[in-house]
Amino acid sequence: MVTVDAVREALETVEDPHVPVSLRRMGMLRDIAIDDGGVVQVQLCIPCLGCPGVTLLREAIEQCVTALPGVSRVVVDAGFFLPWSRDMVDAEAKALMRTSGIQI
Amino acid sequence: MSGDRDFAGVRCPHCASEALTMVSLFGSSVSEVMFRCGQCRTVFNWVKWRGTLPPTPTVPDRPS
Amino acid sequence: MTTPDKDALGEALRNDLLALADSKLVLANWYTTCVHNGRSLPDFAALLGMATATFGHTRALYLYLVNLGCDYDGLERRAQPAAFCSMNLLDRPPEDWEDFIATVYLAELAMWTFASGFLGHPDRPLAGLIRKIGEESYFHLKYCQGWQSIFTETGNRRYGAALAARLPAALAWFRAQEDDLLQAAGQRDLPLSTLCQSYRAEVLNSLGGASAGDGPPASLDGWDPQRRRAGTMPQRLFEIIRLKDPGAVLR
Repeated sequence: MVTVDAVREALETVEDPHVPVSLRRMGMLRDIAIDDGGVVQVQLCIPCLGCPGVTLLREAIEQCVTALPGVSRVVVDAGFFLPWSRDMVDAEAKALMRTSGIQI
Repeated sequence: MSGDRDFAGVRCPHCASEALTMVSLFGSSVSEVMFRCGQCRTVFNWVKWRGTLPPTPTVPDRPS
Repeated sequence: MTTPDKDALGEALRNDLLALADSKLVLANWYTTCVHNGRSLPDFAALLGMATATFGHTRALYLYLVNLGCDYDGLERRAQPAAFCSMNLLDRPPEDWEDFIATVYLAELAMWTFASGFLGHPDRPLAGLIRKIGEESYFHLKYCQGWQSIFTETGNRRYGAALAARLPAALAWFRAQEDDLLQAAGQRDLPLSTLCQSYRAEVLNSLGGASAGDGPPASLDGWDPQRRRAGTMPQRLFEIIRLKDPGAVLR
């Protein structure tokens, strides 16, 4: 049976489309739930409603989580209704963004 | 940056100067405002979201 | 007074959110269509950014409407102009740059004022979505205000005239049925009439007292309360807003 920790670790490879930083460190990974049938639900929080990268992210997440043993299906919710703020970005990611000319 | 409350406290990510000119309300992505630094002369993007809403009719008893 | 049944309430919410989403779809197309009329590079960036965000609002609202029994692909693939419920304000194309700014300002503020009625909606995902729409719309209105300042500083009278000419159509969009079911059921924070008054005051205030008034009210002929518009979307506009590529979905 796949664990939440294993899914979270696998998702470290999925990065924000703008910044080479994982979704978790950008404050965009909100919840992971797994049911008895191996269905993994990933709750994202996409900061911008018009995000053109949602489909890419969805596919990247499905691909990397489906590859884990014990996963039958992956359901991704974009979480357009969830609040996002820069306070949710971790310090290391903020520092990397500044060196790339993005003040946060 | 003086004069505009929306941009209070914005600093250049390279030299930390506050002598900035706002170049464009929409930068290299929708979520960013583009500034030019008057000190080191670089152009940078600043992440917008601060939770400000447009003028909203007031509702009694609604938590803000 | 009888309690409105659940179906009637669901339908009222669906109608209002679809009117909002379809109006956003048309507004997004106004932005993309007018990109090349921008006066400078920041205009191009803003118009494209506001188009992206506004298409995003449409997408998020259509996705939310799936919870209320709508079919997402069905919404995107409507093949008849009569099936759309966009505001009359956006039916007529802009006549010039001043009219463009006046119209998108009126549309953005009307859509926000209308949407803000759901900030306290008991379904928290809807309230959360509305708040995010507001945070983004804030910068669209800020863009319009930048141009308003320029028009004021340069003594441009065409802008005020365009705004006054368009305002009645914008006010008409708030028209309520006799009973505002959603407000009575605690799903809309304030009556539509109150939202409309706030909107009008805000618009007139933006003119800084240089208002020419807001003209006679828009005609009620052919008003469809469900679609929140009179008549059918013009065919020319429909050809612009409809999805041309059957393989393309916003989702």
